[in-house]
Amino acid sequence: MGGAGAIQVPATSLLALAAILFCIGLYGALTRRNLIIVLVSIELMLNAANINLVTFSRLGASPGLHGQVFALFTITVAAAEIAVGLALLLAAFRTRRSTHVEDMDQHKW
Amino acid sequence: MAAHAWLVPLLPLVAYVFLLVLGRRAPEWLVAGVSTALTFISFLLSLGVFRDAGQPATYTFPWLHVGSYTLEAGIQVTRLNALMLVVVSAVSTLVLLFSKGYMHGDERFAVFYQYLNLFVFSMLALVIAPNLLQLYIFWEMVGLCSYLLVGFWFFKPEAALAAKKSFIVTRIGDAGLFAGIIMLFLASGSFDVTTVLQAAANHQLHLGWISNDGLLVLTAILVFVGAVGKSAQFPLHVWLPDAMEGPTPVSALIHAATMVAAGVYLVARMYPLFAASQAALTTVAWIGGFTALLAALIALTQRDIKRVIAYSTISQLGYMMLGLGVGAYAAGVFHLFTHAFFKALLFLAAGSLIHALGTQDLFEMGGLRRKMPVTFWTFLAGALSLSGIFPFAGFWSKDDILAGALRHGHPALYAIGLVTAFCTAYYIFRAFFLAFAGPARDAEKHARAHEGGWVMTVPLVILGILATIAGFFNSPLNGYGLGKFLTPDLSLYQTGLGGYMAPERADVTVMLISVLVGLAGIALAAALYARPAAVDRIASEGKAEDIGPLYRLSYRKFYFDEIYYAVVVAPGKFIAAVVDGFDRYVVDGLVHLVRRIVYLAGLCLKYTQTGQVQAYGTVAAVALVVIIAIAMIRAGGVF
Amino acid sequence: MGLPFWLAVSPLIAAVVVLALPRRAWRAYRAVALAGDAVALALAVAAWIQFGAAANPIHTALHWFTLPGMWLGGNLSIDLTFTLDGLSLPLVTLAALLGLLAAVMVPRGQPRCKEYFFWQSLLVAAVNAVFAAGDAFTFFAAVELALFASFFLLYLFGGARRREAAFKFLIYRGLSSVFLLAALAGILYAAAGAFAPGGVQPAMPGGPTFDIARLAAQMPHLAASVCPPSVRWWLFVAIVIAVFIEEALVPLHSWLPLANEQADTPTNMLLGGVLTKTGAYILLRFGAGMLPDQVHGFGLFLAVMGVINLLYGAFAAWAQKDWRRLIAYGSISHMGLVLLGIAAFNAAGLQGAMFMMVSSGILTALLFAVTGALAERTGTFAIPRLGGLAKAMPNLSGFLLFAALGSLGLPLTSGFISEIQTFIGGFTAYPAASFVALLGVILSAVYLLYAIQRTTFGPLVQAADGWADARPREWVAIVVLTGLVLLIGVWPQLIGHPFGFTVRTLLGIGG
Repeated sequence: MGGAGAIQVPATSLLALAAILFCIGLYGALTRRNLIIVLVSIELMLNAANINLVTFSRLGASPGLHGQVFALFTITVAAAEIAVGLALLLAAFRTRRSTHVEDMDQHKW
Repeated sequence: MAAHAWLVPLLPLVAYVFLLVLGRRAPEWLVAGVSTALTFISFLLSLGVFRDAGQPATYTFPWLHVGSYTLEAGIQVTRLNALMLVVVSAVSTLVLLFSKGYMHGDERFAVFYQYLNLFVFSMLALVIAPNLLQLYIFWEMVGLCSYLLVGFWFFKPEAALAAKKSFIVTRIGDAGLFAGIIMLFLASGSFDVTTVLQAAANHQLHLGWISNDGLLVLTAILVFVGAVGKSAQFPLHVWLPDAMEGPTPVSALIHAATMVAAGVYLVARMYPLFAASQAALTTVAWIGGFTALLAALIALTQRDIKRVIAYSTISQLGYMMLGLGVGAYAAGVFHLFTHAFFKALLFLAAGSLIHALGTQDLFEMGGLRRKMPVTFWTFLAGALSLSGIFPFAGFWSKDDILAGALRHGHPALYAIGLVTAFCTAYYIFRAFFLAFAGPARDAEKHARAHEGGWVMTVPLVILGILATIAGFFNSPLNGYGLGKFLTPDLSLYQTGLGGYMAPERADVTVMLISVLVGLAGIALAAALYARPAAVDRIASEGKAEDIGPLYRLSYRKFYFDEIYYAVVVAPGKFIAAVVDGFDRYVVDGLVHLVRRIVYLAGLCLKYTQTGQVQAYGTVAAVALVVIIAIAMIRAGGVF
Repeated sequence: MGLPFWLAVSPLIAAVVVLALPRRAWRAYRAVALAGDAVALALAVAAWIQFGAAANPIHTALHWFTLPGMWLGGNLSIDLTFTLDGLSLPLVTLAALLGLLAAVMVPRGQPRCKEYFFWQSLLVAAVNAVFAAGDAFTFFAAVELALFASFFLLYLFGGARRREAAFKFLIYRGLSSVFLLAALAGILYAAAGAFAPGGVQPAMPGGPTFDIARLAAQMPHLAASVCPPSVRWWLFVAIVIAVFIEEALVPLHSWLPLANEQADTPTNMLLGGVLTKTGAYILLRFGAGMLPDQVHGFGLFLAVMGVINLLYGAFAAWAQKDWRRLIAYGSISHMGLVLLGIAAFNAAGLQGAMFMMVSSGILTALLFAVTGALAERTGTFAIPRLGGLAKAMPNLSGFLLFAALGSLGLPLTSGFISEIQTFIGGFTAYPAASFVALLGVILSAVYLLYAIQRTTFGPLVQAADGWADARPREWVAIVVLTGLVLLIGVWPQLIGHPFGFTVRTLLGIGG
């Protein structure tokens, strides 16, 4: 693990990266109108979480493989989610001829 | 014999159950025969009990345990109780016989006899109750029977109203009695009459929240309130005249001879309690005196024969109360005794008239002397007895009371009694002359009139004889035998009750005055209603023409019904309506207000649910940030 | 499994069987429901024999699960416990009897009879369990079951405004359950020492318990250092609120008249006869039984509220034009007397209150049965539209009069013996309130006889074509209830015997 020539990046930088990535994702998920972009933004947030998991599994208080395994799980779930999400999106587009978030409001009061 | 006294009320109960099993379709002769026969046996047994009556004999068994106290049921034979047994069973037997003729052909003949038997049972059981609780139970039972019998012809709206009124008005009195009994129980630790009276006579009644003397007065007054309700004394007298809607034998038995006398009986039974507080005795005397006069004044102008006799009953019960109140214990009970006979007689005779004519209006009667001789003569005997004319029964007892009032230093009450006696003689002979003298005012009804069969005339004759001679039981001729018989009941509790005993010798002056007053009343009635010249005047009175304000006041019963309606019933209904409105609009209104508030809150908050996923997400994210910030600040910083 | 368990469960089994039966005739459902209720009643009678002169409480427990560990100093065992003691035996018998009679009273053409008998059997099982429950958990579960079973009976069957009535009923009594739950949990914690000012002090020997008998033995005697008075006050306040709603006491009563007006006759018999008695039962069990000092301390309040209820109910009943509403307010009036008796907190008052619960239950059910039978023929409960019924239906009218007379406390009926004991207790403790309460005795005669006079007396106002007097199924219910009213009135010791034991336990005299 971690050969001698490997570049040592401080944990703080990695966590900051994850935080920035998460915020971009959150911003996108909450503001973009296109459902596809929202899905992509959610992927960004998941990946931010993945970075955190991997960071702590390497540089955390008790390094181990758990975090990396979790990240793999997350990637798998994200893939499945994208598949289901895109299917739903397609179905919604078929019925309403739109992929805009604000049109999906049948559940208001 | 006292040990077998329980059989006396039991036999009418057996008759009641028997009739209940027989059902509504049983033949009339069987129904009436069984009832009369069993009650007659009760009467014979009562005579046996009466003959042997001496020291109180009590037989009880446990009924219910409450905490550490045991309620009991059973019988007690005292001298007073034994006397009452005889009176009740005697009058009952005769009325049961009379009813066979009077109620003949009624589709609910058997039901009528069921009710009557139930009443006789309850009344007899009331009379020999050993404790106040049992007394109250049967006190209410006779009230129930009265309700059922007054409302016997329930399809008549007047009868339905009268039945309800009689029950509710007496219930007011009963509530007082109920409270009185409970307080006596709490104060003496027992319902047992002997124990209670012993404690009262020795001034040992005690409750935490009231002084001992106050308690004596309060309980005595509460018991008297019960008696006022039952015996139709002012101010609860209004139910009895209305109760005349019931069949006439019922009026004779329940509303003249027995049940209404139960109030007087109660005061007599609890006499040591009253004797222990002068205030209570004075109240009894004055209520009695006032009622006697008031009812007599109303009776002066009534045109319904039964109402005349009903007001007469109220008036005579007032006399009895007066007698007990002034301290003439034996005289009060004696008047109860004679009154039972002559008033039952008057009612049955009136029933005979009503049965024959089909009307109760005196101004539709007249000239019946020859058509109904038995009724004529027996009514005359009853009327003379009621008027207090020598030597009829009423003379002796009424005179006893008046003499007692004088002897115990109540001249005002004596004067009231005398005025009442004058009115009494006048109104009963007014009724007598209107019914029997002069020409027939309604020829058609007069033509149909006839005497009833032997079942109706025999009771009349027997009661007529009793009304004539019953006075000799307690006259100077036998040394006031009844009074001497009764007073040992009282000496049990107090040795110094000599004042309540019968007088040693007769006061001839008082007697003479009473008789003269009575004769004056009769003479006035004769002058106004019996002379041939009075025909026109009677006709104009019959059409209620040119009657003066005083006449109207008396005829409208001093407007008591109207006043009570305005003062009690109408406010009660008003409160009921207010409570109902309060319930519907305020209580339920508040509930609906709460509902509306919740609903409105929902209505407002629903606009936050826009359906925009991103809006929800933003709120959630901002809230998360805020929560984390607060948590960090509270934890004192990030690191 | 002991007798009290099956007493509660046999109607439940009947309910399940009704549900499992394929779509069949009315007859089959009714037979099953009747069988379940009859078994329950038979078991109740058997319990009387077993209870006997020695007054042995009959106890069965079915262990369910345990909350293990150091929880308030021990394991908490959740059981289904059923205990029949002097207080619960007469009441559970009343519940079982009224359950059976309610099933008998279901009319022949009952629509949706499968659902009907299911909910009814469930309700009977629940009310049996309420009175037979031996621990707080079982008790609360039974109360909740009774709540929703009766909700569905109201919601699905009844008059035009039944939905409104059902929701009002549900919300009111649901609220009551909240307070009841708080009080029960509070009592459990308090008895286990969780509210001790100086931290948890395990106070219960053998760990915390739901068992009512153990709680009642423990709770009144806890030292102030274990269970501070303020805790007791709060618990009592919660109980009082729960009781006022459950028992439909003014001012929290407004669900009852509407529910009675909208429900059908068998449901009304259960509702008025049993369900409104759970409140007083709670006050006796958890109030007087576990917080006696507070009942004593709040006595004046309870007495005054009792008198207010007595008069309010009576006046309101006087103004009613519908028999069912009149009976509802009459029942409220009776419950005022129950409250007065409990407030007095002496032998006569407590026993009188217990008598009044049973008596009012029987008489309310009887009144509903008779007026229901009358309304089935005349088509109306409205008093102004009735009149002279004694001519057309002398027997039913006679029973109506009898029920009214019992209700107004005529001697030799159960109403009287209840009333006099309550008043003896009342006059001992609160003479002034009792004097005012006498007005209620008069008013009860006024409103009942007023209604009777306008219903059965007077001339007949409707055409009486084809009105039969009572039918067999009505005869059964009416005669049995009438007989009970007389039996208790003439031989009060019958129920006075078991009640007496509970009264002595509550007051701590004797054994």
